Amino acid sequence: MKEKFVCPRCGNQEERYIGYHNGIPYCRRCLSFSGRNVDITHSIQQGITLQLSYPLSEKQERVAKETLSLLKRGKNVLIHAVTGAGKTELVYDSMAYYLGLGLHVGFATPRKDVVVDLKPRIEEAFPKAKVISVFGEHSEILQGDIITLTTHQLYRYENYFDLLVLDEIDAFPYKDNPVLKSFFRKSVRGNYILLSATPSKEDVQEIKKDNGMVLTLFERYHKNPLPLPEYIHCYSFQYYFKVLSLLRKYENENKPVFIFTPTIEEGKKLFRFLSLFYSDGEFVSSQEEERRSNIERFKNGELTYLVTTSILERGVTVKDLQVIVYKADHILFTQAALVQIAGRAGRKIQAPKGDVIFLASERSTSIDGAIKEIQRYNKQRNLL
Amino acid sequence: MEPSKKYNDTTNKEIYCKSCFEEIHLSPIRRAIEKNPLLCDKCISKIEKKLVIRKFEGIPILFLSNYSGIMESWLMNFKEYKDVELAPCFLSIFLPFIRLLFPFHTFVPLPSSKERIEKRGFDHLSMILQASKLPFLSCLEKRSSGEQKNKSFIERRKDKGISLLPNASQLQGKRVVLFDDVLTTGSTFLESLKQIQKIEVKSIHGLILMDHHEGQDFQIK
Repeated sequence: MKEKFVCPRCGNQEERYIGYHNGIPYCRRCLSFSGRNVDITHSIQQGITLQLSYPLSEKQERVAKETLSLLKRGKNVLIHAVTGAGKTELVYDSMAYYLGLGLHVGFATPRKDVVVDLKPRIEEAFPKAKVISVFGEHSEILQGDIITLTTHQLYRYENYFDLLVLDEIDAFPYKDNPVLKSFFRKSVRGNYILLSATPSKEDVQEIKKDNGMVLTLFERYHKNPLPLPEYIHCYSFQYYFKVLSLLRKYENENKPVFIFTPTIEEGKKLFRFLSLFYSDGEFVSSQEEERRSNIERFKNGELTYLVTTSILERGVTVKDLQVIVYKADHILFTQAALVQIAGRAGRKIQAPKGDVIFLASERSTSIDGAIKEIQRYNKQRNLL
Repeated sequence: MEPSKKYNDTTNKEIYCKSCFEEIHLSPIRRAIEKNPLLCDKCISKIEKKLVIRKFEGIPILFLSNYSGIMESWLMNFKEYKDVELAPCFLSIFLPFIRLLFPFHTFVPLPSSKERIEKRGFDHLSMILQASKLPFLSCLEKRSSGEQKNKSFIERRKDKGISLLPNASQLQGKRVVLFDDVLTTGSTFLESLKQIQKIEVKSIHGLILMDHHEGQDFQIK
């Protein structure tokens, strides 16, 4: 009887993922995660303190305190906070506490773009700490006081983090990926905080089983309600003209616009059409090489509209942004995705309102669900 | 092992796609033709099939695919992450065609440098040929860059350090197919071709898995 092979890295036992090289078994599922591992040699600098230049709202303050007190009791936390609530700020207190004790703190998220944006924010809040970011093409430096990284890089930090914050737990590719989940579990030595605006029921159940608590924050930091999406019915031949007329309206008002499309092909087609009329736009998708520079240009106001796939559905903040969802009844726009997309609008305190428009030929269950979910948040924000 | 047990083993085992790990559901036609199916229909459809014969230095070369998509990622996994289970997949769908086109040929894999082979632990081209059960003879050798160091830059560009191994004499009077995974500039191919031409072989052909050629110094005749 042959002994069953268990992958030491990702814990895989399934026969289908096991390959044999000269009769020696190896795991094929986590092959791409072979690289330099990090030993716990780095000692955290002393005297790292939190220096926030802006105050937290009362509710933020309360959730942040609760989080820390739960962590002190050895519990894990899932913070369910609406888009634009200031999730990142909620964990600063806890991070400062752990750093003060000389413990290892990490901040992980599934998306590379979010990691890139996150590093300067954390550096600003912890000016004395050495903050590093680790992701795909950027993994030379692996040791620091605060490590921001993608979930794909967690395999390097086995049994390393005393506090690990995991943002956007329901985002691709972390969602439903057993390999990344097992890396996450393996990298945590102490406790963890999960952050999400749209956690699934399974996420909630899972953390309750794993010695955890769920905290909620249904109010944005600027205390305004979430922009409620508007559903506009569209026959298939009307789409282009509808988008064009909306775009014209926003161009006249001089407001930046995101147009979300379900697939890359649809986005390219739509952009080709729109660029005939408005040249100050760009198309971004995961396959575009220049997406970072285009997003930067958009943020600086050089571009007025961006046609995008779901890569910009989270972690992006642009002042006074208006959102159009093209073919919102497409199967790829799930309820969570639509809630996230709607959360792009009205994030800044200077412009707390914004239009969110779902263009669709049919009121699908995800559209309905998303609108109802946002209504529920808006109702509950005053109760808590 | 008892024969009955062995029989049971092969029938009850679920077959999984080597590329996407999903279970393979075979159509009756595939079930009749294939003994050991490797890939599911979906992954096979993802392979770019681009069968082209082009002449290079007077030698006809058969290109099978483009350097993109699923094949590129396989090659990456195979060469960098040593996922040797992928070795038979590369040629699998082209095999009937290759067997038909080169019935009594000996395949000669182009050499990788010794360091690379040592670092990887195997010669990937020989492994592909072996896994595809094609007759092959690795009779070329590439010097490692360390040995190349004491030469000048120009010499190095001229001479990539490819030489024949002693077993190359077996090729005399045989039909030879030079095999490589990716053809970019064609310099390795050309160098190997020159070496093979020193032996009296009956004919020389080329077989390239993926075409990654930028089209500058490649003369299509």
